[in-house]
Amino acid sequence: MVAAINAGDLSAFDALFERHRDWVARLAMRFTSNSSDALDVLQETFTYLFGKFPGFVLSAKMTTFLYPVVRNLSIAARKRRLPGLPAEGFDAAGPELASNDDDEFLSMIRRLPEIQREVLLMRFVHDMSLAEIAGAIGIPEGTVKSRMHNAIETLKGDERLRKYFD
Amino acid sequence: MTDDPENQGNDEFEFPPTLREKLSSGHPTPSVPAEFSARLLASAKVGYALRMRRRRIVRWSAVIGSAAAIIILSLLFLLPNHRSSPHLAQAGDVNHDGRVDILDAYVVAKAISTGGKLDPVWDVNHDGVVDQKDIDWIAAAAVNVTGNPTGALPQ
Repeated sequence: MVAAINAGDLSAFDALFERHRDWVARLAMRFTSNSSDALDVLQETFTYLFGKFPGFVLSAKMTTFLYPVVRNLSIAARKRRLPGLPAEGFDAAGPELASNDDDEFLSMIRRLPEIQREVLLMRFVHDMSLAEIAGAIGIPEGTVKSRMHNAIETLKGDERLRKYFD
Repeated sequence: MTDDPENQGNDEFEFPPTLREKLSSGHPTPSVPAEFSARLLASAKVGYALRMRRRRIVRWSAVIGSAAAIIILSLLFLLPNHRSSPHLAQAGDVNHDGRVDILDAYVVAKAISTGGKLDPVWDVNHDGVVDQKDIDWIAAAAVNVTGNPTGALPQ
């Protein structure tokens, strides 16, 4: 698709957008917890991506490329909405999880360290491969595995969730 | 992503489907209005077309500029010397080779020094006599790059 757009095939824009639209929207929604902000981020993400054509060279998977773009644009969107929000300590789980204490599982997820929670959500919510996760957040794949392992072990260790793992 | 074959089978972590569903349902995908998508795509395509046009203009400008430079350089090197006007070139062109150069000054200098015949047309400064001043005038015209040898006349 990237090659087709670079070659001038405008219909490939639709295909590229169609393929990644929901993924970007969902990720933006998780980061911003606001559907209006999520749509803004969606628009800015694709405007940024499409602005790179013609001549765009994709050296990794598209999701690996898009993830940091969505994340940074979401941080900017949240800061616009909540000016006092510090750049550091951005909660990648999003406040939607943080506000939902009813479900014991989601409550457990909320209590995971952010670095573990993030890889867990990237893998099981956004369906990214371990290699994509590693590329997207700029860490070795082994570190991703380690964080994932620790996150799952923490969940397994909770007696309220043990039934799901048996 | 799930529908990507490259992602299949690389998950060495067991994660219960029930928990996965809970996790997934806790992070819904917002609906994207069709009009929103259409507007975004239309804008992207317009921007793309503009960038393509700008690229073509830049590319063609470079080609045309290069061609023009080649033509100008060719004219400068291949055509006869244009730096002197025909009238002034004729005035100093003592040996009639079509240009005013140091050889013309040399011919006049040699004729004066050897007492040879002095052609009245060598009186290029029109002071009524063929002398050193005419040699200087021709020499100045030969090295002049302004196209106006009279501007380089020695005082």
